[in-house]
Amino acid sequence: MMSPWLRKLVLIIHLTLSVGWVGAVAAYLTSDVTASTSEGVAELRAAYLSMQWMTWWVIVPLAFGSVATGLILSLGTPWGLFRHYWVVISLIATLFALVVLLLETRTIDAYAGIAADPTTSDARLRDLGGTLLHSVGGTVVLLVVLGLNVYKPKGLTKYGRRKRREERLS
Amino acid sequence: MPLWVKAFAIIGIVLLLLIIVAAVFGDGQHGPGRHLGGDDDESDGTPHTPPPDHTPPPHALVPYRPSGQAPA
Repeated sequence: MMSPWLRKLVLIIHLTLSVGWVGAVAAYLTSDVTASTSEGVAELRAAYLSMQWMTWWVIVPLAFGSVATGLILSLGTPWGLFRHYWVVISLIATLFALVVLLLETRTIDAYAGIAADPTTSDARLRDLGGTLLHSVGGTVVLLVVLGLNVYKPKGLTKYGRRKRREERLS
Repeated sequence: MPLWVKAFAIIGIVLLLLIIVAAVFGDGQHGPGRHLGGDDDESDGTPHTPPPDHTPPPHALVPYRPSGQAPA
């Protein structure tokens, strides 16, 4: 188990990365909405390229950092990783969001490649569309996880109940 | 198992089923492949290669970067 000082330090890093992930997705959404709705060619090119930069330089690092510090925090504190339902559900939802994000980077790279190509016609650029379904869905998942982490609803898993019994007996 | 966990499980299963149904019965063109200019993509009338007299637009930003590479 971590010392209280170290636990608080990891908690600060975890909160910063996790809330930063939500904020970065919100910023990404502005470019995504532009990519999905704008008719201006210069705006579209800027939107697709900024989507790629934000994804690779901000969102993906924050996502990995959030998952890593979340694992450290749960394994290094009495909360554990599989003892409480809210921790298990948060883990599953976060990993799901991370996998979808990594799969979506292929689409984002493809869009950015087309937008950066000076030979791409204006009509083709306007026809590309955005990634709104995934980005809005991802935002909802992250907000649900955020809510679970703040409210921490009661509920021990079978494993959690067994561990608690063992701890009481010992 | 608490009630809220059951509610989360039901919502999660429904969403998962919707994703599977969309993937199986969708147009089969999910993902970036539909934008990468296959032969069947010419039907929209948009040329993939520039015409001989094509000149790059003035707002051309940066050269094409292959997918999978992070920007420098």
